[in-house]
Amino acid sequence: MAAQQQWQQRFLDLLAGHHSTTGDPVDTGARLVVLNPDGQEALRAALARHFRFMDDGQGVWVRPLVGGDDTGEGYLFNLGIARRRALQWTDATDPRLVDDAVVMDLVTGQLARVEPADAAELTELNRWEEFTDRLTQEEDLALRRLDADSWHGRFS
Amino acid sequence: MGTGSKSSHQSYAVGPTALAESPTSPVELPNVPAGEEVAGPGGAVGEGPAGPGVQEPLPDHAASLQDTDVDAALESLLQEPGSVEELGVPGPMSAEEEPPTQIASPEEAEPPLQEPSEAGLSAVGDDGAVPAADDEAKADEVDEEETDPPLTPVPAEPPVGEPTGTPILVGGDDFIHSEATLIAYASPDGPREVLLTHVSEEAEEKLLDALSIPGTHMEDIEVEEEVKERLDLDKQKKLGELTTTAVTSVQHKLKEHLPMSEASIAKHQAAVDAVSAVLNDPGVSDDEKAMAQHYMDQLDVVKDKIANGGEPLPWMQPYEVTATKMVTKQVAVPNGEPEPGSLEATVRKASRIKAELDPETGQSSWDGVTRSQANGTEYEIDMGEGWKAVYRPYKENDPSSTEYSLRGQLEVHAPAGAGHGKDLVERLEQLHLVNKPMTAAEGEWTYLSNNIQAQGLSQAAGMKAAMETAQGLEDLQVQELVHQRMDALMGLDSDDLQTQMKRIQLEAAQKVLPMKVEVVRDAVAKASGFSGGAELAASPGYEPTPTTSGRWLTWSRFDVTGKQEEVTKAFSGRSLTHSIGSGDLAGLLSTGVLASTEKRATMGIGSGVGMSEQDDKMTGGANSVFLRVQPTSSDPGGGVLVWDDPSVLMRRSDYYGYNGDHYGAINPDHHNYSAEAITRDPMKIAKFYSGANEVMFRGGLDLLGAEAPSRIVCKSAGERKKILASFSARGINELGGKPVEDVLCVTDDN
Repeated sequence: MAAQQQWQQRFLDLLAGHHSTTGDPVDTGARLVVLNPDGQEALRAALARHFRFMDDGQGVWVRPLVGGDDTGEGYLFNLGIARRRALQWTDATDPRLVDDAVVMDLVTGQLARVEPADAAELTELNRWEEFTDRLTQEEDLALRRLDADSWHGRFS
Repeated sequence: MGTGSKSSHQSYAVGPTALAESPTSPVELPNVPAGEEVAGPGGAVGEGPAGPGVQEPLPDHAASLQDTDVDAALESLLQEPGSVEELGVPGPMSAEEEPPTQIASPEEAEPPLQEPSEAGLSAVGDDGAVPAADDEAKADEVDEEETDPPLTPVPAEPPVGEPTGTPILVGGDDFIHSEATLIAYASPDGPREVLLTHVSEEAEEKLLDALSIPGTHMEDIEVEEEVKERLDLDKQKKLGELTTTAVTSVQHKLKEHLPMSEASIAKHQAAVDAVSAVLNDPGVSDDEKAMAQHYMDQLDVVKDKIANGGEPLPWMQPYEVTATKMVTKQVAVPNGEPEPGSLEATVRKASRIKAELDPETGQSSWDGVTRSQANGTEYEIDMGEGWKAVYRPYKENDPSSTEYSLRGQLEVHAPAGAGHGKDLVERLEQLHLVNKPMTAAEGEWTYLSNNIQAQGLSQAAGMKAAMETAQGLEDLQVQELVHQRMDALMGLDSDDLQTQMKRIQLEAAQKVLPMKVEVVRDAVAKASGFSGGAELAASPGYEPTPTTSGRWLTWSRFDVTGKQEEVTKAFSGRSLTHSIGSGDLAGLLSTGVLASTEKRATMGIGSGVGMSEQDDKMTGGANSVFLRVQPTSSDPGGGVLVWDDPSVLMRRSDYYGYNGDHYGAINPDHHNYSAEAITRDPMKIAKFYSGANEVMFRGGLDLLGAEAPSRIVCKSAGERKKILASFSARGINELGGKPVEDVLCVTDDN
């Protein structure tokens, strides 16, 4: 399998939870860790299971699961905060497999690692799955399309 | 020394725009309403608006008067040579002589023309009863001159329920872009009128000097509260969790159109077993039985989906009961009394007005109390007589760990009821901030400031010298006025002298503003390729007044308005877009604005739920809306606003962009901020190629006014029809000069 196919397949598997050991993909998923050039961690968040590769082949849209809050109405996400985000890698270095993770050298100079979620990020992913059960099918599909720059509706 | 007479200043009258006429009204006494005379040894002083430059610092001499011998201080002021008239304009700051100097930081700071504030000015407004030191000649001169009218009128009664409020411009530069908004929220107690603005970091010291913050400590109080909670047995047996696990697993298969897995079936069975055990337990109470049955009913639905598949499951809530409980809460209690003459402020966790926008009526309402939590610190300020303010200080909100977009936000709240519009502005004086509408002369100062920042001219040769000269003009004017009024000043005690010095400072700032504008305009002109200020001011793109497009006030940049064709050509084949995806396009257009996260909060849109270090509130992007540069030929899909002529927006001076996803970062302390990548250059923005590029416009865009999109792509013919009907009912037939039928299209039209 070509290197590109390998990392893309791994990326897809991580988000879908195909690495689950329980037989149920929903029991796991992926998290995103972004490191600044100085090695400082800039972001650590679970990823929703949807993604969309950019037309130019140099990036992918994902949805880091941020903006969750335990409210009187249960655990909710602010969909204005949990917006789509772009991971764009440099021309010079394509994403690659490193151990269980897909590693990307981002155009921002940062390094992104998509890897199996555990601990706090897995809990947040579970909360997200539960939260999305509140959405209408139309809302759910809108999130999956990853095409909106802002969210105008409930939970914003 | 000059004479200080009117004729001596005429040679500095600002032309040729005619908009920058000297603001000729005398400086108003603090705490004295316009038009009201105040008796004093020197005669009457002041009517009309307090002048521009109220926000500007006292020269060091004036500040030093607070603690030093009065006569000696005055003497020191008079020992400095020169006069305003003797200071040439603007000879000493040629490009060859002055090294480039950083004046404006690239972040979203106040325009670079601002000077740091000093605490010395902060007592403005403390004591309006101090005698005036002006003379008869001055009073006569004042009468002869015309009042410079405000650029934006201040409504006495802002329209009730109007979500975007009424934008106004406040004089000086205490406020970012000199902007404020008056909003009257509908409420059962009558309108809740609020002034919302963003104090510049440089003006913060003045504001803080008006406050007394004795500090607080937390005390526990017991309050009765209704709480919803799960039964103890539910939590012990984890019935809710087991049911949710089964639901989530099955739901996943339904949504992904996957076959039901053994794992899903096992999870369901585990939940059924646990719930059945409770149902079959004779020792459980009726409430507990009801709880178990609630879950069993849900699990029956899940079982059906396991067997038959079909549409995803509906939202299944846990079983909860409402109970009244005594809850211990912590409240902040002041440690002591406020200092006399200051406003008492208490420190608390930051929050935002939690308004609500009625989608049916389009009205914003707020009860005057409910607030949503934010990540940071704020002061609640008691202004007396039922007036309050809330301020979120820069110094208490570390940009690396709190919401960047809330820093400097100020709310002034009137008592419930209508008619406080003008008082809301006047009351800014209590906070030691400029409290008068902006005049045309001040407007040009703001315009130049914005252009320096937008065009990146702050480091241009000659700019620093121009700023120094501008400040020098003011200092000299102060000296001249002190000299003229020496006799009256010498007899004053320290407090009175301070007040008079502040008055003189205000007057000096007002008098020299046209000259300062001329100096800086000349520097800006030379930095941008004009022979001088006169040529720049006469150029067709020079528009030193804001554009009012219904809901926003925006300032333009002359490098775009003067080169419209070049900018349009640069964007040839490229559009600016914003996608709301499957969002409520009709609802968005009913508000008429594409508003920033912060604006949406004040309008009553958004839950206020959630917080993240990645939030736009942390990067500072929450003060802007995000657009993207895309090929015009690309299929935008439904729910997209398209500006096929981006120059309509590029004329604004308040945008910045990244050729990539930087979360709209303008907070230099945020890791997504990049000084190298950020740009305000429209020509660079026109070349953005990344699919994740972003262009941020402060506040938002008026979708129905001059900034209207050229295409609004609906998701369906039905949605288009609905929006057309709404436009028709509101009398909206054209957008941006095009019939609405041509602007509204559906995806297939493209």
